[in-house]
Amino acid sequence: MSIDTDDLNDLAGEYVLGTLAGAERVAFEGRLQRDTAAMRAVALWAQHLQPLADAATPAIPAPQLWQRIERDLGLPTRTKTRGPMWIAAAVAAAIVAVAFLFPDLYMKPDVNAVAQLAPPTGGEPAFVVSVLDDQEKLLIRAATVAPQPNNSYELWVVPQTGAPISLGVVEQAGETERDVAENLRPLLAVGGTLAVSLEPVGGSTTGAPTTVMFVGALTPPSE
Amino acid sequence: MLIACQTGDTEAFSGLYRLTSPQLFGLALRILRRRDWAEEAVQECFVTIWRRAKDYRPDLGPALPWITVILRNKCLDRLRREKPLQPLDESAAAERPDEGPSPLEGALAADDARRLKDCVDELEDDQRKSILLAYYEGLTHEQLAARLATPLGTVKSWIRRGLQRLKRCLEP
Repeated sequence: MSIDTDDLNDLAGEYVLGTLAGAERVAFEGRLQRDTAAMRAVALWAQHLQPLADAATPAIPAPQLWQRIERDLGLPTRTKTRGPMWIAAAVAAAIVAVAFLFPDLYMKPDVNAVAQLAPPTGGEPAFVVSVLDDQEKLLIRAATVAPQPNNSYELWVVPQTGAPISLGVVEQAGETERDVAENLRPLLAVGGTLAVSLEPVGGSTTGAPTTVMFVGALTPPSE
Repeated sequence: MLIACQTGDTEAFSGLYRLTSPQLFGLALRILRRRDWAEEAVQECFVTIWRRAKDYRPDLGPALPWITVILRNKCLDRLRREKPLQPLDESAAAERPDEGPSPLEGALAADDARRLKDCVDELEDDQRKSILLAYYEGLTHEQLAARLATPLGTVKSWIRRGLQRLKRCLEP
């Protein structure tokens, strides 16, 4: 294999992966318009890496999305709705999601700290919050939570000084994943305090917690 | 189906959308982490598919990887245009899919998937980590270097050597 071919393969691989950026990416895209060898190298890499795309969990976009595409393209819009069929296809795709081929292909997130949020008066933890990826993300797991259909639970970080800051409404069952705004990340280090309050549906309307239900300190993750 | 789109068959186009949009939307959501952005990426992707269907070369490979490259490029364009923000609404975070696996093409794709997995497993840890971060989070070399607290040159070499090794493993 010649040096030129090796170089083309490297470029094509980085183009498909997405790390080729800026001027290099623009230049390579130009080459893709006219260079069959480059097209072939990209097609091969696209095929190689396709299983990574297949491994993402399918999700259902808003039903209006198709109308938006038709509108953008000026295609004739059908009067009859395709909703039910479309949802059936989505569900079928989700059902295919059975073969666990890539359990460890995904990186285990780096856990920075964990907080068990229990009633201030003591008792079982209701929520367990993991701080992940250098405080960029939170994973909030509902442990033993009494469902409150007419209310929402809202997560707060409680700074050493100043008012609690909302981290958003959390699910009452299962897991909630949350990206953390950059300015709040320092508050989520070990030693920080988290709280969950009971709020009207959708969260606090005042910007402050209404009824604090559970609190807990961030501690180092156990191995 | 994509071939039919080349001749302007709108039925085939809507069929392609029904068949592939859940998987494409799932991937876009994984990369962009915002429902509104992910929907726009899928929207732009299908607009491009329709307009560029004639550019698709079946002799060079199957259609789905071609479509995936278009979608990921839309996602990367978005990521590089905007600074990542906190999700605007709760649904974006709540509906972000977890990273479960789900080969769309069933048994046929499973062989390819297993082969790729075996080859990915053979990479060195740093190579594997940087390649997967680049694929699923759309990070550039510079962003990877910052994320992994590693010099830029080292990250570039992880990616390049990792890809070369993958290629040797996949095309023995």
